[in-house]
Amino acid sequence: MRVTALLVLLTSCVAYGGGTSGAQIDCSGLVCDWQTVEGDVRYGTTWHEGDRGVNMSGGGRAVTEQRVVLIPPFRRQLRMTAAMLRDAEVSLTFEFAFFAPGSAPGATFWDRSPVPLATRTVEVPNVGVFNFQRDVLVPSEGAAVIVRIIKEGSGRALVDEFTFG
Amino acid sequence: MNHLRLAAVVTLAALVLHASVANASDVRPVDGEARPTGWPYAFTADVRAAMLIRSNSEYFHQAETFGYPVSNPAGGIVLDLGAEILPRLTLFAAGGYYGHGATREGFGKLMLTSESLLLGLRYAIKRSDVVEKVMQLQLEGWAAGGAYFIRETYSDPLLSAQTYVRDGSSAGFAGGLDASMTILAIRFIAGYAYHYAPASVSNEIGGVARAGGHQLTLGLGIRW
Repeated sequence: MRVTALLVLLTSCVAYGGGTSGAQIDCSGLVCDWQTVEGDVRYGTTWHEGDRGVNMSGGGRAVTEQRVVLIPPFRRQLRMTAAMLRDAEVSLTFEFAFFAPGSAPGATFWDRSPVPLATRTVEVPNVGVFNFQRDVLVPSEGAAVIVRIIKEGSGRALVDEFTFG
Repeated sequence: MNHLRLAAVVTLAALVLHASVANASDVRPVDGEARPTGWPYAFTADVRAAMLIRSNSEYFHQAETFGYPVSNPAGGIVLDLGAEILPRLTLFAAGGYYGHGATREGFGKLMLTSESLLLGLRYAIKRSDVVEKVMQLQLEGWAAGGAYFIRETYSDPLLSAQTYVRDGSSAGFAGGLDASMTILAIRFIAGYAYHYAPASVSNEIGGVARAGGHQLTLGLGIRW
């Protein structure tokens, strides 16, 4: 029961993020609960020691992700925005893996074996310090998304102010 | 820095020399200017609203990108006290305060403030009594040196209870032009100056904001 309550609470925090933009994911005020999948990812100082975000600077490949059950009613086209720093030697890619609800028994959406629908990929072409935005098409029946940030190469890569909605 | 010091010394020497010559030839009014009497020849006190376009290296662009659209120029105030020690040559002390900042989503706050304390010489390149002892127009050039301070404060209570403070200070110098109109004892002044001051604060990704920059002032003062 406690675990369920905790999961519900976590999902709510991720979805609302503490921001006021009404986005499905709003990491502009708080650092969302990104989870490291691969490599060296730090969740802390970004452009300023007092501002927190995702810092993937360093060598090699690094991947971080967060899972969000989308809150209806959502649009078929959602917009991602982020403030970023990218060195030319580094590539940054966003992946949006959409899922439909599964039918297996389980306490949460992710326990019920959700059905993969489509994965949208957004490559970041900009270099330097910049704001980035792209529209992402949500597949029909899409009810949840795993957002991944994939960094390749050696150099500086920061992602902050991430919103999706 | 040596050539800058040399330039400052040469400028100062030229101003003093020119003022001495002006003093020696001050037998009759120049440009319709009434001959000053007594010593010091005059005192001035000005208060000015100021606008400082702060020197920076990507600092404001980066701050805006990450959610803090700090306006550059900064607003400020300058207080200036002077004594005309030779005809047309005024020794002055000036203090300036400038500030600007931005908030993010009503919580995060980034502020930049800076101060300058300067001692310098001002020379009246052109001075003309439009109406003797009533209205005078003046164009002055000036050079000064002193101390500069800059401070950045950052706080975001959503992320941390801590307020992050960064300071910088250095010596620096400035030069500029002031145009003024004096009616009886009241002065109206508009000025431009450039402040060279290495004092700076920097962020984590190479952005730098400095204490100096281009300055425009508009103010009111008295001359007696």
